[in-house]
Amino acid sequence: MKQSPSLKVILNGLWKDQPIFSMVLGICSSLAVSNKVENAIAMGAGVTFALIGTAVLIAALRKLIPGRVRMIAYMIIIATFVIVVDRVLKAMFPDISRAIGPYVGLIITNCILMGRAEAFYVSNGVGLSLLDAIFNGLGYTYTLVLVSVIRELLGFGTILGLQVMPLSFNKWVIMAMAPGAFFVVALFIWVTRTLAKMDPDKQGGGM
Amino acid sequence: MKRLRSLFEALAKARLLRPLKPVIHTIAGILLGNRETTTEAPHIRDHIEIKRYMSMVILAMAPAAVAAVVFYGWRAVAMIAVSYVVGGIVEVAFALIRKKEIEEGFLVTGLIFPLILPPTAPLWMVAVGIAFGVFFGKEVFGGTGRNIFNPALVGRIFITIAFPELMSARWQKPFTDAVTAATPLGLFKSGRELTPLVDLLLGQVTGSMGELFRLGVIAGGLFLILTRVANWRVPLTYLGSVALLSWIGNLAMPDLIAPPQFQLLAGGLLFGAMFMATDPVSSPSTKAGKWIFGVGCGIVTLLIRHFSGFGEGVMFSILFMNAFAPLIDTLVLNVKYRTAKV
Amino acid sequence: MSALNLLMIFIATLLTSNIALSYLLGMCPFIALSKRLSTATGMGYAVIFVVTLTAAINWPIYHLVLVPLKAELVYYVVFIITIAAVVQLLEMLMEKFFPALQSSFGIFLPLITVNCIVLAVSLFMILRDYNFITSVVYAFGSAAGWTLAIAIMAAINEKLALVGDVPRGMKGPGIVMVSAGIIALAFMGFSGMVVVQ
Repeated sequence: MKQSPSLKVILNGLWKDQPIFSMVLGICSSLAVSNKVENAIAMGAGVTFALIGTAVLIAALRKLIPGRVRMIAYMIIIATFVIVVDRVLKAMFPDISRAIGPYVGLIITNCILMGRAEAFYVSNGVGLSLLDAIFNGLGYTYTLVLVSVIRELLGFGTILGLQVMPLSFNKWVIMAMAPGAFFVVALFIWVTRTLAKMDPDKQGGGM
Repeated sequence: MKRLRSLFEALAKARLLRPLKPVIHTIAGILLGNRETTTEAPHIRDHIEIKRYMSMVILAMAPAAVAAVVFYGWRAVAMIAVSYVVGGIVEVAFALIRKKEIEEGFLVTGLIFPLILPPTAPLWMVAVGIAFGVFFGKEVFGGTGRNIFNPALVGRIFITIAFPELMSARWQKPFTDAVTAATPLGLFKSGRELTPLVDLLLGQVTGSMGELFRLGVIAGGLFLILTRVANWRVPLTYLGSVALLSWIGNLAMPDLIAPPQFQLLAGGLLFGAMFMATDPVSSPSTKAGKWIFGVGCGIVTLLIRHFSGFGEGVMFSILFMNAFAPLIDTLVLNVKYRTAKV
Repeated sequence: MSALNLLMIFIATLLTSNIALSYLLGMCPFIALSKRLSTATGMGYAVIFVVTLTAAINWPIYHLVLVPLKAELVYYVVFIITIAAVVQLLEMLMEKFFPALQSSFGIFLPLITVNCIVLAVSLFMILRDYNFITSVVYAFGSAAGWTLAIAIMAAINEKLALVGDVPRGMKGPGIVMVSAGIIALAFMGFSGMVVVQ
């Protein structure tokens, strides 16, 4: 069956190229901000916004940016959008901004943005790039939210701050800390890779 | 006997029962003994079979385990039973899914784990800990003999950090029901109080279940060393470095660091040094590596005991050095053969 | 800041506040380059060098240029330009003057631009209001802590390649995450020993 290019882009974003777990890109933020669902949603939205802005701008300017300085050009474009995300978050959601503040700045080095820019936006038109950005952003966000649901549920007994577990529930404090992030993400990687029957040697970890 | 064996072989071959093949093999193995010797890791120096190795370790831990049952009664029995059942389920599930033999390694892990828990630990927590330890500490690395970390320690540290109140602040003296927050090490930290050494030796103090009856732990450790099941280098360097460093530390800062005779007997040091640091799979295999490993365990134990927020550092120190074990081995071999540079 | 304070910061960045194991940063190269010990340490040395150098350059740029100009807002952009420029410069200098070094760790230099700990260290030192000396010690310690973590990981991976039997879907990133989680558990034993903000 032949797929239209835009359908392929959507499917890749949501499952096949699924950003965090299949390509292991952007793993820093998926680990660090997934302790609470609200942080995960904020981070996902921030990355999606930066991704969309970057995609449109790079795709539009792709014939103007000289090949030799393109990396630094991407970085400046990405950094500009990240500053916007940071400011908006600070002004509208000061609590979340305090919790994930430094990690917002690190969206700049989030491999998803550089990776998609180099792999897709530089060689595709604005429309297709925009679609790719939206669905890669969504793919990133939903995986981040899935991880954070498990961590917040076990670590705090809540989801989005609402008490879900009975009050007598013994909180798994570790889930809110670094080791909990490693273990939950490891399980996710395992499940998705086993389901996708991916060859581990060929696609083991990108930069 | 022969007929029984062929019955099991027929069972194992039956198409209907194929998914259960590992289970049948194991039952046959336990009832009838293995005909083949293992060919895979861990390779024990004098080629004793892995199963015999495991049973020697369990035998050596028997005095400590029996003492735990005498001290705490049915609670201790229940904790050991839960550990074996839940750990066994994880082990069998992995063997069935990955179509491998069930390995007896978990017989040791399943016994060590409840013995390093406080006697007040709820049974559901025993289940969570052993399941986590066997799953993440052993099975995902490939099972017995392939693990990097000691599975019992992985489970113990996981629940220690996950449930700090239940794991570190509720201790119970043998033969009593009273629950206190103090262990001998804690009493020294808070009030410079040194528990009498006889009480420590006989286990009439608070602590994890299996570490208490220290005479039995020492006897079991010596048994392992004398039968060459455990290498002497790690326990010697571990206990030696703790003794030496705490002697120096006690001379320099008597208010901060306890004297060596107390350090050696308090907490889980003896149990850890004899039964967990000696694990041949998760400790270095080179001789020089074992020395470094033992001294590293000693230093980290004392640092955590006296300078961190945790009361006892033995389990952390062994897990910490487990992580370094492959690196230590590689560096030792590199220095020895001056092949690759790092 | 006394010398003792600086030592405490250094120890904390190695153990309790390890940038990889407790701040979860620098994970992409941690996964991708931890298959062999020589690769891991090569990357590690390059990271130590670049992180310390960029922190030492970014600190005066922020405090002596951006703050007086009231242009703090754009420090993200300025910092990444500094980092990219330092990496480019190092690469050129090395090629010209130290070709031997170039072949051993110069090949890792281009990869550093995407290692998020370089930017993270510069951001954290501003956020925590460290002075210059503290910033440099913090930067050096963080990079050394990252190198320690990836060296441990690489040795584990080399051993697993020999004796391990990791399930298919768990190979690569999965087992690295599990190991890092367990190492992080062990490192937590030191918590409460040294406190760094």
